[in-house]
Amino acid sequence: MILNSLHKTKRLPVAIGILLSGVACAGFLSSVIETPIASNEYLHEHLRPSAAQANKSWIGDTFELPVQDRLKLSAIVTDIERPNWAPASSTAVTGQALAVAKKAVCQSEAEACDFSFRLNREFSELHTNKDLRVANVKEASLRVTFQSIPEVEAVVIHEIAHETRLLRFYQTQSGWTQKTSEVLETTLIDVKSRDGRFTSKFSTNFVGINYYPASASWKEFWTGFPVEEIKSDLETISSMDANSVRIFLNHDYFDNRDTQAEAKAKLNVFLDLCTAQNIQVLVTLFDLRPDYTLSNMSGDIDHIDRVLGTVSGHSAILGVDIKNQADLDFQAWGEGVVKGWLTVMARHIQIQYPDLPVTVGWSNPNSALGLNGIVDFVTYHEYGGVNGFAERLNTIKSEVGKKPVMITELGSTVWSPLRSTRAAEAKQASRLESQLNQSTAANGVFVWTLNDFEHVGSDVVGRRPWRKAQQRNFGLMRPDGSSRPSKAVFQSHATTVATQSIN
Amino acid sequence: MTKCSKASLSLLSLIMGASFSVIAAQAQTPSYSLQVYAGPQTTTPGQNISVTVELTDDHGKSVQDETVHLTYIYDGVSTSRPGKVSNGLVSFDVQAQRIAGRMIFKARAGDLVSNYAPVLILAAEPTAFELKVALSRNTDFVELTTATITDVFGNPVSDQTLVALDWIDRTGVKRSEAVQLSNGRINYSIMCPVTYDAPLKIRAVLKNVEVFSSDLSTLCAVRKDRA
Repeated sequence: MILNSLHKTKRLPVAIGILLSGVACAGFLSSVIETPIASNEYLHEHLRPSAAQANKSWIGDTFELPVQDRLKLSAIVTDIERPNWAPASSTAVTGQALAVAKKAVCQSEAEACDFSFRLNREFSELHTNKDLRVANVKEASLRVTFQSIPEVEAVVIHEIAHETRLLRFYQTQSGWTQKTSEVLETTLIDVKSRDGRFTSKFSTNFVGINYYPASASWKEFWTGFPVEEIKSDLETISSMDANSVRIFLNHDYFDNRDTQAEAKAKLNVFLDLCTAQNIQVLVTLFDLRPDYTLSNMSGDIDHIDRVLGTVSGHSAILGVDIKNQADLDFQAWGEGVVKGWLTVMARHIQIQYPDLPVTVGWSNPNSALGLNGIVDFVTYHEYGGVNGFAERLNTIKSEVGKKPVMITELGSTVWSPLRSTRAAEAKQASRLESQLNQSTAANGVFVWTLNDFEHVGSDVVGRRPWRKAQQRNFGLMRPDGSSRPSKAVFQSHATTVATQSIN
Repeated sequence: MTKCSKASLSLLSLIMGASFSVIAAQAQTPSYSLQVYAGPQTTTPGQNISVTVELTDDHGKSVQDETVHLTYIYDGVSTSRPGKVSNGLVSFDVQAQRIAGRMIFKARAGDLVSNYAPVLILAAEPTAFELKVALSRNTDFVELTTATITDVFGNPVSDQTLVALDWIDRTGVKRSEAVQLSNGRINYSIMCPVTYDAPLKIRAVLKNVEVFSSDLSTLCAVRKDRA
């Protein structure tokens, strides 16, 4: 009856209603599908084996197994343990290994699921039948176990461990088949012992600058590397009583085989120049590289080792910021993927370079607690309103417990098409003064930035000219070398902090 | 009545006690698995056979440092070799017996007996043999025979092994054909060539062994005359 009347009298409104609800549904679905935040389906896209990696992953001088067999065996293992993979015919897996394969399958979105991703797999022959009928293979890897939490659509890192396993294969008519997978040794990576490790280092209250030379910003800093300008800037920074700088290592320049040696040499020169001025350096890795592909993790770990391997003992290093504003990549990459990647990188640094405190420079106070359980000190950026600055800081301080908290970016641009330069500079100074006055609870503040920049690349803020103009004009110093009012504000704060630390 | 009940109870408790003991004993006995892998599946006397024994526990996990015994019969003599498993495996190099046939490998670990892994032993390279040629009842044919062709250990070369036969005269190979061994021998009627330039011989090639008949010009003389 009701339907009937609707049919007759309200056909048009009903049709519009259906259309609107359809659009709404489609919108909802697309938002779910296109926003892969913490979806393990999305994560699986990154877990693909690479033949090149498989080839390199066998260690030993001589082998009983021919190379084709070795590639086949490593491919079987990687395939079996690929989440979301179900053995269709069980031809490549039997016995206990079948249970491992079933455990790795996380096809259900509704139930919690653990799955492991293994980094730096190294295979070695333990025992091979000379007729290649059966083989024992030892595998050593860094196991990262993720856990899906369907209730909140999240994927979190559950466990990281160094693990050695015994894998057994035997020949069938259809080729090699994996039969067993046994864990021989597991060493859980537990870095809780790091609590309080850096108390002495952070007894200093850091007042610093995010640093690029005026003539060479972002990646041009390292390609150009104007030593005299850098030296002069560091003297200026020191003369302001600042005690630290935050720098950014362009990933491509430090990773490229042709430039990495040159890059490391320049980094050493920079650190030496900072030592001469008693300036500590917060080193930010992976700059301008928005890529969290999990299957690249091994390469990313190699990158860390290449960079930190030679400078980790340098007295000028304050700590390591793994990635600048990684939270801005949550939407594109998924929060679980980004945090998973950051966690693995952080744990690697903490294990390999135990004297270097590790942080992630989050883009805003709301993200600051993102990896509180992992990092050694919490850092975030403050570009929000001046009102509430102290409250936001105090909230974070109360949440993180004893860990140091630093605001590693704050400041404002003087570029404004609607305001005179003098007014804009006055506003920049007053805003900075207010922020610094409210920052007393922080263990450090780093202003963005010392200089205005002659050039800002499109890869930094995009192509829009007004965005580039904004970004070029954050300096405490004018392009002609004179000081803006904000410099005096900063210097006053730095001098006060320096005096307090002496007293 | 009372005495009877007591006796029944005692008997019952005895049976139950025994049952529990059996169950407990069963629970303590791990059901290990013993597997033997041997290869190659076909080989010749004296060649190496690689035999691997796998010992796993009831969870399929590799057993460590347990002794297993590999047993097999070598030329009629029963042989047992001990070995200690490491990560569930231990391998043995075994020489294939001299007598062609089948070698069967099995293993023991305590009371546990493995599967059987067979390896077929075929005759090795044949030794030189003699070609005998006689006049056939059929015109234009000769009868080609050999004694049993064997390897150095006396094993007859397998039946159906192909032997290449060539008629050869002064000018070279006149004609070629192949014959299979039967009962380890060649027993074959072969037609003489239509024309040839004496001397005329048959060459037989079996694997790496090459032998020649005597001159057959006399036996194939009729055809020679026709030419």
